[in-house]
Amino acid sequence: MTTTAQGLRAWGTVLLALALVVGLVAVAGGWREASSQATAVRAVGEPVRVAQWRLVVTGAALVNYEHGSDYPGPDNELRLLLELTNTTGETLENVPTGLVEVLAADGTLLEARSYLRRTPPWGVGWDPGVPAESMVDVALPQVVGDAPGPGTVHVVVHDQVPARGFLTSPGELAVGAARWRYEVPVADQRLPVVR
Amino acid sequence: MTSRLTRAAWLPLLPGLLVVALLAVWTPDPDTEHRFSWRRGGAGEAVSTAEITVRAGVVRLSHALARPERDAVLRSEHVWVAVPVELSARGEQTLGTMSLRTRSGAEFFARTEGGYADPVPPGWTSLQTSLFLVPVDQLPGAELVVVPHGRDVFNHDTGVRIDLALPDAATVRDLAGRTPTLEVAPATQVVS
Repeated sequence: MTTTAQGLRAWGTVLLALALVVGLVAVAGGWREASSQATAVRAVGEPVRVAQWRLVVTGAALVNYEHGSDYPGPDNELRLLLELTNTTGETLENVPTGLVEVLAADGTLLEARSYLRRTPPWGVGWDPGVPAESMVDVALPQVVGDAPGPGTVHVVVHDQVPARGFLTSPGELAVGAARWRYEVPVADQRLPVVR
Repeated sequence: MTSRLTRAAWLPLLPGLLVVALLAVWTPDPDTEHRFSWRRGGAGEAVSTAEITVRAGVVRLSHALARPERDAVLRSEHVWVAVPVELSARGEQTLGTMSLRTRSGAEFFARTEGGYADPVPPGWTSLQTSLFLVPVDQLPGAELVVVPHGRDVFNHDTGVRIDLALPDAATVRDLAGRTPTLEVAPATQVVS
């Protein structure tokens, strides 16, 4: 066999292997267009579970006052209400940042104005196996004064996955990909501002 | 001759290497395990470690807790547990974690509705009421657990466990029914 024939045969083998890989990826669906809605939809009141928590989105309200206050302030905020249950064996003081996100109808991420916390006047911490009303306030800078607020918002819940990297501890968890999405109606509960 | 001398020079290292190997086996992994030896006692007894003495009084239980500063009463199907705790400090590392540990091993940390407990400086005694919120069925056999803040270099420490004298669910329901609403005094500190 000549050198040229051997070279052609080697190239043919490589191309055949590549074609095989491309074909397998196609059969597995790897060349399909990525979906922008890769999360599973949940209805308000329906629970989801991640590694350390059971979460239920229970509602959202457009407000202009601190929780428990009767005095309206200048800014409008969206108050997301949840029921959280700590499913670990010990009290947890924080919900990981980014586990729950609130998005406008156009997909814009709404910036959190507070940590996700137990609804006042309850104190800090979620005890194991005790469902607790919880809340987080997010900014609505585009809703000024009496302007109408959004009819709905999207709430995205991420997964908790094992943390990766050299500086992580065994068993440490990180916030993973978005897994569930709620479409939540927003009730306008703003207090009238006396001018 | 030369090789004999070289071998002899290495020999004193062997005991050191043996000690290092033993320490490596004996010391728990700081990332995954903090190992305790426990000093145990019952309600009313003073239980001491080298750094602290803890005495827990008789617990009070209720389904409601008053928060007068918030003009609110926090009601729950679960039980508020108020444990009067007297903690005297001798060492520097005295701000321990205070928790209620159930028979199943679940750990309920002290709640903040009754206020935050300040660190207890050496030579002082803190009088405080630790609050916990626990489901009724988890309370029988529960213990108050106090562990030191920080860790010794080998990750072995001494903690305190005090039996809260809650033998069964009937006792828990009975005690919780006797107090309509718990009220908790703020913590105070006095010189020992």
